[in-house]
Amino acid sequence: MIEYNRMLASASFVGVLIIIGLPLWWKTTEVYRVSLPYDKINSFDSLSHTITAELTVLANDDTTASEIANLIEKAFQDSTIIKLRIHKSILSHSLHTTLDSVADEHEAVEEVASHFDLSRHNSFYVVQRKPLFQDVWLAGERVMFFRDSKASSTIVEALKGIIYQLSVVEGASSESADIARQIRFPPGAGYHVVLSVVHPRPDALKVDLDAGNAIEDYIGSFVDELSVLYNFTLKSQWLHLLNFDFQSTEIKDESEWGHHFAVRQDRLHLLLTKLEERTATHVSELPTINLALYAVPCDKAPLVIYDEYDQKISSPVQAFMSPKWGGVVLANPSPKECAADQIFRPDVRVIMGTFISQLRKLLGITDAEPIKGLYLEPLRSVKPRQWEIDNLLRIKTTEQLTSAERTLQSLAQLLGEISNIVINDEVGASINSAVESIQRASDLMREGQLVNAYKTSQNAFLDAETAFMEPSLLALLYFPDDQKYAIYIPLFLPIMFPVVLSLKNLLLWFRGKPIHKEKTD
Amino acid sequence: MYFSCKLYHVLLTVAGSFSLSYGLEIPKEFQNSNHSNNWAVLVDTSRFWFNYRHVANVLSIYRSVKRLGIPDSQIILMISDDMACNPRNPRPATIFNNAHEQINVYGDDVEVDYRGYEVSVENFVRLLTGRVPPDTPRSKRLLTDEGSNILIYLTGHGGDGFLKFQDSEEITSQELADALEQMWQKRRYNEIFFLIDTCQASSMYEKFYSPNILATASSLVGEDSLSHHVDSAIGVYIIDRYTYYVLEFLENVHPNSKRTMSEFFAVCPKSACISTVGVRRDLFKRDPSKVPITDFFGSVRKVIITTDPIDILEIPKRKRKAENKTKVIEKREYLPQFPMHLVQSTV
Amino acid sequence: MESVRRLLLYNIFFIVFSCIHCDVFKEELFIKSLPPSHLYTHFQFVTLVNSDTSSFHSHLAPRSLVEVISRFHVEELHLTLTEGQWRHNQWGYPVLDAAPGAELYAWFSADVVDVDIQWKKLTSTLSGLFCASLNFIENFNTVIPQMTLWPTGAVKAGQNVTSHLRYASLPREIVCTENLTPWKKLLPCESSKGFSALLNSRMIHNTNYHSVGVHVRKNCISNDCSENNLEIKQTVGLVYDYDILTSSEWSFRKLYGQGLPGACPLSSDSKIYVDVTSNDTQPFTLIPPPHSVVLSQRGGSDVKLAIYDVKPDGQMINIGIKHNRNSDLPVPIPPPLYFNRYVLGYGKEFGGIVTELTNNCWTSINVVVLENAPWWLPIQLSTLRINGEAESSLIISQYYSPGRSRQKPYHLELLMKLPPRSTTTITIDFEFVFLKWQEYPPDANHGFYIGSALILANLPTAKNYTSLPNTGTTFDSMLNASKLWYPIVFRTNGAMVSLPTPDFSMPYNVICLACTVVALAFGPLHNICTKELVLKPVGTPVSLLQKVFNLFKRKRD
Repeated sequence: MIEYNRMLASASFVGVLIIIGLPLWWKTTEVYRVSLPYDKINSFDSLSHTITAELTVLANDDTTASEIANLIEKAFQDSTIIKLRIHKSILSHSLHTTLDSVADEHEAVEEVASHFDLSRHNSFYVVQRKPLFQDVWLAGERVMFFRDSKASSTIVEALKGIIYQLSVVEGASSESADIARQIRFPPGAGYHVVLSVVHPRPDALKVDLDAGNAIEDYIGSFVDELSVLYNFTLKSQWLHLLNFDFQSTEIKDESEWGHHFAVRQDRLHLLLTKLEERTATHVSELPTINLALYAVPCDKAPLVIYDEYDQKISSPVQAFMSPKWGGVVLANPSPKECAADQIFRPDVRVIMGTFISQLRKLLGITDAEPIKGLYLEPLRSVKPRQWEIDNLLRIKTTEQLTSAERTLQSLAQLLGEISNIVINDEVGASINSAVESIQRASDLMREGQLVNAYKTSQNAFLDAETAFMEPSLLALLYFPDDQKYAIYIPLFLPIMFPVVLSLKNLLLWFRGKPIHKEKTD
Repeated sequence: MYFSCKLYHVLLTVAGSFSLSYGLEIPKEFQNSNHSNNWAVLVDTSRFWFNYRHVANVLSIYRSVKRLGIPDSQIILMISDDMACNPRNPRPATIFNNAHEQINVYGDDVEVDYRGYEVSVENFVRLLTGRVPPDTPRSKRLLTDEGSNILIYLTGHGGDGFLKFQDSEEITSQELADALEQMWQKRRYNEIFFLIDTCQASSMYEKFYSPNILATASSLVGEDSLSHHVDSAIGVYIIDRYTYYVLEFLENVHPNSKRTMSEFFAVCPKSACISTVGVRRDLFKRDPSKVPITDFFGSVRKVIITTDPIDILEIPKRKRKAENKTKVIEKREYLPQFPMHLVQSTV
Repeated sequence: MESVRRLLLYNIFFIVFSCIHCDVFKEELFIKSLPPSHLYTHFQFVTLVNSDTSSFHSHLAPRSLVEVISRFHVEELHLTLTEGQWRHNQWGYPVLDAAPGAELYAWFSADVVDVDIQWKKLTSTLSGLFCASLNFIENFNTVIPQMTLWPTGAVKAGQNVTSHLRYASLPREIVCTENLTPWKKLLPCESSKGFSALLNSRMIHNTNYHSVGVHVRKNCISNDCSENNLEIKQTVGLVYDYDILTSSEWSFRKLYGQGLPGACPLSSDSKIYVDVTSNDTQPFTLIPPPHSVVLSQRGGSDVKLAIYDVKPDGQMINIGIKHNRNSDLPVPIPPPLYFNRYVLGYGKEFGGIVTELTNNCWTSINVVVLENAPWWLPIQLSTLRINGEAESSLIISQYYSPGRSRQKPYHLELLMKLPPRSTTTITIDFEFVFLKWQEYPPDANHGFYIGSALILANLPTAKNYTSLPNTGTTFDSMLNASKLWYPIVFRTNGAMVSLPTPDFSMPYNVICLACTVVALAFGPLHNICTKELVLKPVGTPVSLLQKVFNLFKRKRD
């Protein structure tokens, strides 16, 4: 009887501690982890990044059209980034005669525009026009004129290098950054553009410039065209008394000044450091593109940049830019403005033209090498060319998609490795939405809906960044497993020791063997 | 085997002498780094007046790095306690590296990003991994990218495998290694130079496993880093030996300097520092004797001359958003500065 | 002659240009000697920005600050970083009083829905802008003063200002060069020209009191206030000690390390005001002589000011004084209202805060006292005593908001009428609270700071009063600006308490102890329940183990 009671007591200890207690402790110290789509994330490597673009070839007769179309198709066969959906057709009789008879190419473009929709993104037209001076003619609209089928190789080169810029788009998804990616700003939700007018000597030289209106008109019109890509905020400020010592040397020459001051190119990056002290761009929430206009004081004017070979740079303006930072223009006053307290009125048109050229490169519009036989109409307005915008959309879509994929892959690896980080619902939701967006963006890219693909890839990129940079994913905040055991083991091990040992006796008693464990004194 | 080695060396010297005589150069890509910007993270982890020397350490490196061109917007400076304006400082707003007041390392234009209680293990790891709270201003974030070379300098009290923060918590070498690996995964650096001046400092870099990290420490495991000298006016040790000699070396470096990293490693021999300087170079791809100091301490910024400005034909005009000038005139008024209405109502 | 012509042309051009861009910048310096042996200098840099211009384009105003103001819809902002204590009973009243450490309060515009979120974002952004730990301002150390703080700028008619006000102070913040550097970058002339060139951090931190501030508000331009502009005022207040300067004959070289290198070329007005009222009793000479001396009669006190008009011609000016004869030490005359605050009690259970207000005036003064106790120092309203009485007739109105642990601080406001020529003592008790492990700062044994109390007083006289009227922006608005009342907000000194702090090295010991106790308790319990003691007859065979054990036992006979 007493033995029965003893065994019951022993069994109850075992029951409470091992059968109830152990699973309860395990459950309560479990880490809350939302389940993540690891398999989908691992399958990103096989996800296609191909963008389908529409290309229409319009020729006078079928043979030319077929020849050109086949050549283009063969050239783009190997590309994994861009797939062309080529439509070939013959010019309608009215359009044919109109194209042959109009005076210049711009009217011809208008004629084509009246027949076809040139404002659709991701489309391009290659049209034959007999009276052409060069083999191929290209301007700002989504249309390219060629003379005859002898120009087919030029057409292919132009499509690869200028219109579709295969190398740049491929570079957007590569592991290491190519030149274009090193220069342009990384992807984001939007940018701030700040025009800083640097006025080193307000007492010696008066500068008349309406910076706010200048940036709104010129840069504003430029960024309005890119509104499909980003939201831009334009700001301007004046930095007075920011005097930078260029360490320039005076060189006599035959200009109206009689001399000029030579600045070495390797000294210029220190100007950027000095500018950064005062531009206060860290207050903004988004990355900032700096455009600085340096009004050179009269006693150091004109300032001319000399390159590393001690030669004057061959450029109509004295300007330079720095990747991922912005651009600087050195504005020199004229001798007339410096004499007798005149006011320095910088030529806004020239300055803004320089800034726009720098801004294009910083945003990702690269100028390609000239191709023999191709006439590319030089850009005369602030608005970018239509196919440049398309190209920018493609580059950015690929870049954002690749970046989102890499982010999610490394996040999945991190969360898999460190098993004690809590994955709360927000992170799970961000990751899931990013995965969905990536897949949808890839589908949209393949279908050729470029604008939607861009927007979806931007969402994917932002969601992936949010998920990765979530403040709660810090390994420090959570108990690693070995620390968890280190705290509970000293508490529970001495308790479990006799309980586990008594299990043996319990089993023997259940089987009916007598127990005579003696312990003498 | 030995003979073939010798032959190889002979051939190499011959080739080298040929190249020298013909003016050929070792290919530039071999020695040049492909980084596009430089950042520095400088952390002082000790609190209390008797740790004055750690603040002097970190400000010495700050001063050098700023002088060699890294802008403040790319330096994250973390100082745990205020020494310059401390009431116990007989020379307010100054921190000297030397009892003879040679260099005021605090300077006139210092900008401290994290100070006081903000310097904690959590904030440091958050800064490195980028997982900062959403309201954090940009000047307190590490906005590096795949082309950034980062200099990380830590000073304070350390031990075998840990570094003490603010006398109340520690960061372990494993946590630091994991943080750097997360930076690598997110492509947040090109190369890192890790410099640490504490006791048993080399234990902090033993656990690193991410590529492109070059690390050096002021002492090996089992050794203590010692301080340099006492300033009797202040009553505390004023700077540590290793950083004192590092500052001396860096004061002679100018932005176009050709000194290399291997010269930097030799800056404090055992006779001067008493502890042995440790170096870890197995994770670093390039040869430190060909890496210029300015790759980490100076700032490179690529400058591209603009030669093709756009010749704008017609001046654009952007539509102003608020074209309607019918502004609603809002009436404003000055309020009384004392609530007299409450006094009168209850009287 | 040439330089005069240049100056004239420059001024004309500047007027032309200043209207095109419509930003005006003025810098001023006010110097006053404080008896017995201190000198007060107050710098003021004012930028007036036309409200019409967008917040994105700025000319003279600091773009970063304007962007912050417009992004968070702030109507008025006051930020000060102060080191040292202003001794009101000896020195009179400063132009702008500031609490020791960091103090930030702001009014948000009426269209802001969630003020607390904007407040948190504003403090985080300002912490990055000024290199101060303002991001430690959270809901648990922010109060909404009901009666004490009123906007000095022009507000929209009919707006409820109190609900959109937030006030917080961090007494532990230090002020050093790292705060001065970004502050200086907000000025249009930075620190190369103008009055800001005098602000050498090594000299101005060697003072008894230094306070750096940024004040932004909206100002009326026209009389009917249909047009307004944004006023950004940056101030530096310094109190020098003649003992540190080693002479009571001060000069710019001694105070700032250098002379003044001319005014800022962008400023439309650069003036230096020196208070020479004490010239009658302790005569001294100003070198170089001032351009003009004016007498200002304000609120029953006569103040004589020497004015220097500084030109941006690059000429170095070193203003200093020379005593005419060996002057006697001036005796400080106590101002109409001064106060003292200290902590009572001993031990680590209870304590009390005492605020003593002394009214030196011949008439009664109305004051509002704001006590702001942190959440870990619960003050008990039932223990509030005025001059020892629980229900005092001196209290006109009272506002009490009890705090909540880790969420809200304790907030007490009293509108009182101080009787003439008397000292009123306000006492309130508090108890200490145990904090959680992680909430202790790394140097917990240093002590915990209680912020200063705010006192809004409606003074009947302007004795020792140097503040500007709220309709004016520059010091000349102070001349002869007599009014009925002179409201001013004072900050008392802060206090420090020592909370009960645990021994932080205990966790390991505690774990070991707890585990041992549990093991020791559980073992015998388990044995009693599951084992039975059985007697064994003598002579039964013993095992080897038992033999070994028996060796260690004492043989009993």
